[in-house]
Amino acid sequence: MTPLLHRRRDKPVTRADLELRADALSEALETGGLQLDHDLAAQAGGVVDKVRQRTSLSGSHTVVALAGATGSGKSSLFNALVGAPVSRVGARRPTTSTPTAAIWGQEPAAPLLDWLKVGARHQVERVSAGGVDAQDPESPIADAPGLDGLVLLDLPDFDSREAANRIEADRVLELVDVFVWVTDPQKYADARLHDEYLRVLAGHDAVTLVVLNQADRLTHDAVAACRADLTRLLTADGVEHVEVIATSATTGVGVQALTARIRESVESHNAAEQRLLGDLRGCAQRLRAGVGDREERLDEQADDQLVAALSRAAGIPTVLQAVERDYRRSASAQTGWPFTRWARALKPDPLKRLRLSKGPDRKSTVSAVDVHAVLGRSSLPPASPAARSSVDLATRSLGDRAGSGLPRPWAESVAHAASPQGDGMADALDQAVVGTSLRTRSPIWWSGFGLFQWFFAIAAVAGLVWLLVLMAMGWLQLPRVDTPQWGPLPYPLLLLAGGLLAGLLLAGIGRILARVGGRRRRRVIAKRLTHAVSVVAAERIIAPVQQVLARHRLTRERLDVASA
Amino acid sequence: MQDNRLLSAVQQFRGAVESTRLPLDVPQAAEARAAQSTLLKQLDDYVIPRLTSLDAPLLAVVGGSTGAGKSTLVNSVVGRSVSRSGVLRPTTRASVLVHHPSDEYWFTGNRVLPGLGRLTGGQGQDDDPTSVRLVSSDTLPPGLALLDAPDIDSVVQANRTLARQLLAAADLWLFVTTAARYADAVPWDLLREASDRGTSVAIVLDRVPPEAMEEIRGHLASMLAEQGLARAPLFTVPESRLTEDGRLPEHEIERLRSWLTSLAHDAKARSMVIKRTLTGALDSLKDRAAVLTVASDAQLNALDSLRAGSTTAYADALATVSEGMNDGSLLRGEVLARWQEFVGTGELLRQIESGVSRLRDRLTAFVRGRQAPAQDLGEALQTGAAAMLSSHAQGAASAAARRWRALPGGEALLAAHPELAKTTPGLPDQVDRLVRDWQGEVLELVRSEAGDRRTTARFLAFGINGIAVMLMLITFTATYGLTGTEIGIAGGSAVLAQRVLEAVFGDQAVRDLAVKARKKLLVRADALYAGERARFEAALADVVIDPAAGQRLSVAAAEVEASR
Repeated sequence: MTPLLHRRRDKPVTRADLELRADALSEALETGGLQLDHDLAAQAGGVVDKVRQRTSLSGSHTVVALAGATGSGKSSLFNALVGAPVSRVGARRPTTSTPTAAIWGQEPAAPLLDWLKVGARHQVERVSAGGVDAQDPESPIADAPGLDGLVLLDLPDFDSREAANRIEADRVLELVDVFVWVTDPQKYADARLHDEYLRVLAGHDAVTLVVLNQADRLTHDAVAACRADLTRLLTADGVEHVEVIATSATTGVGVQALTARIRESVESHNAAEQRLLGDLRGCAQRLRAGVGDREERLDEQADDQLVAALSRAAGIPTVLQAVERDYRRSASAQTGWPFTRWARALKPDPLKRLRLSKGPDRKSTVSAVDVHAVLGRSSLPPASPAARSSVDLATRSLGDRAGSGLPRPWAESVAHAASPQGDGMADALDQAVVGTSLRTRSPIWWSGFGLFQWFFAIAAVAGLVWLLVLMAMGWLQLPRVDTPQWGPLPYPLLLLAGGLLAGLLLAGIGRILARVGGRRRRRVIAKRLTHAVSVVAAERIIAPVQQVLARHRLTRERLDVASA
Repeated sequence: MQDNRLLSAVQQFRGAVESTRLPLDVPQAAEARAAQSTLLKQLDDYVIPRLTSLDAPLLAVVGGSTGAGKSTLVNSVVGRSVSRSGVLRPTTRASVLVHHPSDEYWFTGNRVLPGLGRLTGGQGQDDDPTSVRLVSSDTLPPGLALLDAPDIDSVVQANRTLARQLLAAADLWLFVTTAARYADAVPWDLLREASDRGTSVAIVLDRVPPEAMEEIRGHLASMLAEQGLARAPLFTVPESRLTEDGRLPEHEIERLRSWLTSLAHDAKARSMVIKRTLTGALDSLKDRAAVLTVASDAQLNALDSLRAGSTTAYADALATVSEGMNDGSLLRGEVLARWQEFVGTGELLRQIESGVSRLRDRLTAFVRGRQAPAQDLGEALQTGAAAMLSSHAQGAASAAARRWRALPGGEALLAAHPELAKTTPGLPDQVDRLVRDWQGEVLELVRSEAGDRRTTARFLAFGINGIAVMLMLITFTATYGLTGTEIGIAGGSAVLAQRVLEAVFGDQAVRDLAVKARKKLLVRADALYAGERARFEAALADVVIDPAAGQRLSVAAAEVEASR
């Protein structure tokens, strides 16, 4: 018969559904945190509480509130519906300042009314027990069947000079299930009714009734014109599919029709859920407007620009230089010309200088464990301003990229997560460098070359000794011993010259090989360090950003569930 | 004579009000702007025309809520259908001014309500709220005009605005209310204002059910007394069947009409009503001017704190740059590596810590006779200094933007100038050029200081470029002169550079040179940041606020007081 009825039959709202949505909204509030609009979040928190309180109240009462401006005849209509002069009616404005409740049926409504904080209560008594013809316009309206479970409230006005009335009406309106907006031919276009109530509650058309009271003051045609005009205004407010019922508490016109509408609400036993659903959806939708529709997908791995910037900030170029030099130094210590090797010892170990050298195999170096114990960090020079600003640039662009398309509070939160504050980052980078092994197995050719170097050195020394012995023998005028010859050259000379030349040559080749090997070592270590740095980037930058994005996604999904 | 002086004082005051600018969105700015426009309108619509011609007809504006029956009342008083009445709300959208034919010339011109157009002729379908329809009727006594205003509280915003404007232009406010309306909050706000201003008010209590007449009349009278309007005439019109023409029965409005007629005929009574309202309006000018003065001063304060916000941000940046030059943080990383290259192998430096003087000799010996790679070191210094300057410029821009966002009025300015939060697009190039220019200056400094020392061996060893770079180096550290053991590698390099320079120029000269070089860089940095800050200043310069506006208002208001 009415859209109100049809929609309700089509889609009854279950309590389970309400709880699901309330939980979703409450989770969204939790995950959304400070990024949600503060006022809306507080409002939504109130709605969640209200839903939980209302659904935990036993019984299936339907709370219907008559609300409207002063002088529109709320109390008269209330009395007409109840069938008894319960609420005071008067000419002095405003008449009603506290709400009055009328309860139909035997089910105890005290807990509900306590929750509503409505003191004035009236139990509607049946005049004739059962079986009154509902279609009989003469029968008392209060006796109409199907009203059991109805709690009808007569509210104070919301537009008089008495501000307290409005506060009380607003408080109760927050909690009721069905709104009956009572207006009259004088006041139906008032700004306050439309702008501050109907427009705000536009999401609740399923539980909204609009009554044009005092219809007896107009002619039949005028009533029709007024109803049409009011319907137009309602549509402009966003309240659609609501039929305006013209009533007159004085003549009783339309009271039956209003009762019938109220009965539909009561019989459906679903108005409370409808109202709460409307609140939940409204809150969720308003909150949803402050949440983006999608998040940027971010790789788990940091991008090259970020890693390069962080590497610079971590002093990795310095480390790599040291590694390369260390390789060359070690190679020359092992494959260099043994006669000049001692000079190398004067040069300090470049890795040791950076306190990065490690490995128990080398007694002279400080191990990583020692460094941790004493300093907890390497002595790499702190990042230069240039390196720091390139890190800033990289993190800022990452933050911008990840936060693009998100509303401002979220984008700011992402940007904040992308730019780690304080010394934590520098420390983590330092630990990453310290924790990375900078040495690889010594190449086999070192020992080969070393062996040959010793062999050539021994040969040269042997040749020298031989020559010296020969020299000494000559000086002492001892009989000349025949020196074996190889071609024109004597063996001692050959040994000395050959040993020295071959050693030098080998050292030269070793130097070239060391340079190549040093570069290769540098590349290997660079890969390791880059990996370590990208792990830090993933942990310290990407992960927090991912976390914010995940929070955003969860909030969005939960709000979608709540507002679906 | 007195009146002329008052008139010119009021016109002066009007000029002061009009020239007050409130461009910043500080709290209460919107209210102040509304107050300003209301004040201007009232001066134009009422005060100035009334002062110009005190003997012009009395303008009674019929105002009140929608549905109170204003148009019906006007039609009934005039005895003609001059204004549309009906059941649809709001009925009246445009205003109708009814006057006696002999008074016509007072209203056809732009003497009163210059902001509204004039329409004449019959009752059209025009709902144009920007014009007023003039109706000439000899049923109205000469010396009195009735203005049927739109409602003050319906959903149509334009009506509410226009009604308030018209009420401010009234000599007499004929406030129409009804039995259902008389306690509404909105009209009482206006009545309170009228009472505070001393506007002449007459109240018509319309549509009263005859049985409740005494009760409601008594209640309303007590409410009026409470509001200080006890002396306002109160007319009651009972709810009654309208005549065929849609007017009230003659006998119901007899009292009101005779009161209006006697007012029109009695020049003295009329001038009393006019004087009362005019005095009230003139009295209110001082307080309203004070509101504008406060608002104007608030604008000035907001402007000052915005300017201070950006100034502080850039001053902080300059201070940080100066500090960064002192703490030697520039000398790390790249610069350090280049310095080590410059003076020889990095390993050599290790021993600097043990004995600088001995080393200096070794060092100079080491580098003597070959061109040092000063080029690289200079470039590294350039990069470091440029990075420091740009990153602080960027930081200052975002800090200033952040400050603005937190200050009243700043948010809107930033929205209008979104580029402020970032540095000037060409800043990096500008900074590079700055540092290069500074380096050229340092070179010149060294050249002029060197004078005849240019041929000394030490000078020749490094070349003028090398010396200049060393000077730049010590400019970036305040550690020179320190001999403590805890001078790090960076400090060590600067100490070394200083020792070399002292050897060339002498102790005091080096200090002077370093101070000069540093000052020159700071001067350039200051100029750079001043340029960046100028963008914020330019945004503020678009905001035109006259600092004397508040003063002028107060003076003009005092002059109005004095002229009365």
